Amino acid sequence: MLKKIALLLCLSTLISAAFSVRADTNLIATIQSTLHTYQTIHGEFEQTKKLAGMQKALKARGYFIVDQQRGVLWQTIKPFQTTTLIKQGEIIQKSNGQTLVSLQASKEPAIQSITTILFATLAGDFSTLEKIFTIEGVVQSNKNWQVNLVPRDTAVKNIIQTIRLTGNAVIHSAQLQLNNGDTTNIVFKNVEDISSVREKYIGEFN
Amino acid sequence: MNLTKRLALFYLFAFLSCAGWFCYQLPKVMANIDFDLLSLLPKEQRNIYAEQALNKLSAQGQNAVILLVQGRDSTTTLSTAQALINQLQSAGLSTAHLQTNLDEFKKLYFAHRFGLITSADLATLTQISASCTTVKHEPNTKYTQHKNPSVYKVQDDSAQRTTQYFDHAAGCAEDATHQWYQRSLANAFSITGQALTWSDDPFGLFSNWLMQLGQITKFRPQENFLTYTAPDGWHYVLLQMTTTQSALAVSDAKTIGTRVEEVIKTLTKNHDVKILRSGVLFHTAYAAQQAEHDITTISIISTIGIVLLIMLVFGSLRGILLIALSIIVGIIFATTVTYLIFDKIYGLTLVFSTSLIGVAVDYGLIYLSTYTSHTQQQSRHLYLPMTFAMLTNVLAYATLLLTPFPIFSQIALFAIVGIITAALVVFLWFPYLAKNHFHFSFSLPSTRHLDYLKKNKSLLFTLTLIFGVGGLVSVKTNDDIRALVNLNPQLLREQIDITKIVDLPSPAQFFLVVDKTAEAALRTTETLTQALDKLVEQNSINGYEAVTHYLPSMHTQQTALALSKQLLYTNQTLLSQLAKDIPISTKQFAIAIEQNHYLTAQTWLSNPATRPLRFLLFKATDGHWISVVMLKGLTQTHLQEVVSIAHPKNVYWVDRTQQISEQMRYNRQLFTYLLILAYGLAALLAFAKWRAQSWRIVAPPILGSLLALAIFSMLGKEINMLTMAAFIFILGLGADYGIFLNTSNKQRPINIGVTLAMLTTLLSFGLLSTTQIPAISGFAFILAVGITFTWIFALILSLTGKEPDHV
Repeated sequence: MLKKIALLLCLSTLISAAFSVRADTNLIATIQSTLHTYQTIHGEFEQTKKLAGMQKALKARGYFIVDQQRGVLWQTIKPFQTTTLIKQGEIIQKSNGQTLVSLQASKEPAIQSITTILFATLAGDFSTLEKIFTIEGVVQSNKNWQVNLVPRDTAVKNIIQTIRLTGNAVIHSAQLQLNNGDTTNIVFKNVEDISSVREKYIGEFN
Repeated sequence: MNLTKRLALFYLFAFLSCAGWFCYQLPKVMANIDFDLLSLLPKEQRNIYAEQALNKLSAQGQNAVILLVQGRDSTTTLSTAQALINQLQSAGLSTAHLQTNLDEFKKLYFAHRFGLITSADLATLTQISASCTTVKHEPNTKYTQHKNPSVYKVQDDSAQRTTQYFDHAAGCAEDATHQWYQRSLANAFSITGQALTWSDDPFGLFSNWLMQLGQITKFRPQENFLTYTAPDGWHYVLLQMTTTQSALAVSDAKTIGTRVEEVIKTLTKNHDVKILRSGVLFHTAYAAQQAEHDITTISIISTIGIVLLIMLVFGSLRGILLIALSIIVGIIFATTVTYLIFDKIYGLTLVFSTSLIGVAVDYGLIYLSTYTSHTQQQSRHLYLPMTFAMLTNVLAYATLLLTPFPIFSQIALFAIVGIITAALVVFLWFPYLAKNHFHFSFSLPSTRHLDYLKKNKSLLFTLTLIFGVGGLVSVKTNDDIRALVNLNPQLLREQIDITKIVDLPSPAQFFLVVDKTAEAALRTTETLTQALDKLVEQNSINGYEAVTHYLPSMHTQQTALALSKQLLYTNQTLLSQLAKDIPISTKQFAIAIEQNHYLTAQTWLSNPATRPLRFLLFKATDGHWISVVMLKGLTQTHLQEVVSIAHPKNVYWVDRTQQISEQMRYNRQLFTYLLILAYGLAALLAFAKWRAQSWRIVAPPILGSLLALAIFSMLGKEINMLTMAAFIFILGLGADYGIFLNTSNKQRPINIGVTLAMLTTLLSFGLLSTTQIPAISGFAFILAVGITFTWIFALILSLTGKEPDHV
């Protein structure tokens, strides 16, 4: 009678667990020595999303801020103004000051996992990523690196098939292949360290 | 051939056929011994629907086992869970494949998704729809000024309203549905992963519904397990297993229980993990173990004791064989008749029946001890008092038949058949089998030591009365069913922990919705859950489990579909706006929505994935539809608040715990009245026969009972239904002593007979009071103590009395 708990159809069931399995430690170490970790970065993005069953891709662009303390601010400018805030255990989507979506880990535990993955991906936190994904990839002589992330957990696999990341000292691109057939390509541009002027930008998180 | 011979032969024939059947059926009888503690519970008598719901619940619970792995480290916790599954597979416990189950559900709901919208989304849509009405009547007024927060509930007429104003949707949508446009766009461009692709759920309505469904529990899938990380950092893995065998025999329950315990021991030895258990089968296994131990120990010791006693007194093997014969015949008849009537024998009946030896042995003992001094002709004089004594015993047991507890009815039936058939052996066969005189193997003890008591009997009675009344005053009652059973405290703790961590609903307190059709039952359930939602908001309860979480009523689905179709999926303004950014045809959703089928109760119930949930909605035997709504985290403080929601027409509140306690209290009171009535009857009968001396028969059991009650209360024990029944037994057994003692004019041998009868009863019930089953030990204790004092008083009274009448 208690199998009703099996009814977890929650769309986003990701993992927060720490796995002891280690990936190619050399690769990770090399990338970590190349990739800089800053208190706060600012950059622009161009997003091309291909929805399953649709010919034409959706294009969007905007800017983003990744702050070690506050999380990720994802500001779409075109085709429409919308702000996505990814904090620890919380995702909020706003448009014109009006909250469209607000998801809390306290209500939906899976949100914790999503925010962890998104933050780790955008902040280039490989020590967290390698706990959740098996990571394979190459580092070229010019220190350009390219990695393929495959979820370890079947529950995460239900959402994400693979994540492909490229970068050097900063992240260059991310490609998300989702299980529902959608593909998202994100190209990052003009990524810069704004730690020294952090205070100027941080207000946007509120 | 005279009549007695014929009767003796007829009885022999009856016994032999019964014994033949017994031997033939014995393996089957043994396999069907029932140790299930649920059999202790009385039948639900008031409401046939509640009875059927409870049957469904217990059927589901019988074969279910929950294991909860708890650990500090998530990897170890998960690997321990996997090891548990692997090692328990061979023990007959299996677990459903989580992902297959989830996929099955996803598939089921996806096909009906356009009717599946959360109440929050539905409220927003209804609000917009309501604003359209305003727009229609007052075209110059702006929508925003007419937002009416009171139109938040989905009302019965909302579907009609939707249809009525369907044509005007385009007129109001532009303003009111702007947020849906934004929501949809945000979904399409979102960087967070989603389970469904955008075009399958462009406004996220179905995703929200699924999310709400998932929030019924805090456990989430991870590595094919359901896991949860508590705020205090503990990791939990929940394993829900079922026994591969559907009808579980006691021996299987024991095997599984032992295997689980072993596996847990090995797995927790090396790792820093804890494994908690919950499941009826663990309790069954424990109860069986306890009962078997009790049955063997008590029956072996009491048999040895009785044999030794008879040996000591009669010094004759023949005496033992004769008495053993009466007992064996009694037990064979009793088992056969009980099995034929009940189809199964409860383990507790067997425990109790061990004490029957002490009662059934009395007739043989009295007969044989009288035979030492009487001729056969004279011993026949004992038949009338023996019949009278037998009847009082049978009547005492018959009171147990009045209880709604099947287990006690069975014990009563077993005892009544056993006593009558054992006595018949004495009546019909002993005159032929015990032709030679018996001799007491030792010089009879003098009764002179009673002289002191005899002389000071007024003082003795006064003291007894003072003591007894003191006991009466200090008596405490307890009508809780839990006082009757002895659950393994460790298992109980684990079960309580699991219930808390997993937040399981209580199976003992729930709402029962009864309606003519499934749809009516679902709609009534939805009204009920709206009231419950308020209680959840007020923190009166943690939550509830209702079928409408998984299967909204057709009406709700229709309302949801009509509203979302009108305001979103066919709203041309909204769609053409979206089409600017997303390549869609403005007709594609209208086509998809046309293909949507509503999720019917029939479809839902016939899907294999819903099997574990089907107890929430079912068709009763009389064709009514029943929906069960179970509550989580209900406490006594908020009980009244919850109960007040029930409606006498079709929403019933079922509280098993309270109901059982009420039944137990009712029976305790009933037994008290019966006891008074029984004493009245006994006094009348005794008066008819013994006139002025009749008090010598009635007084001993009263005084014995008072002392037993006083001692029982002084030991801090509480009176319940069963202990009250014990007092009826003291009358039944104890009155016999007075009868026998006051019937015989040659007192010595009958003194010995009565003393032997008392000793065997004391031996049986004294030993029975050591059982770990509280229901039986309290009963046996009262009986053993009461009978001893009754015997003392009966001796004192008969010795001090005048020469009694002859029969």
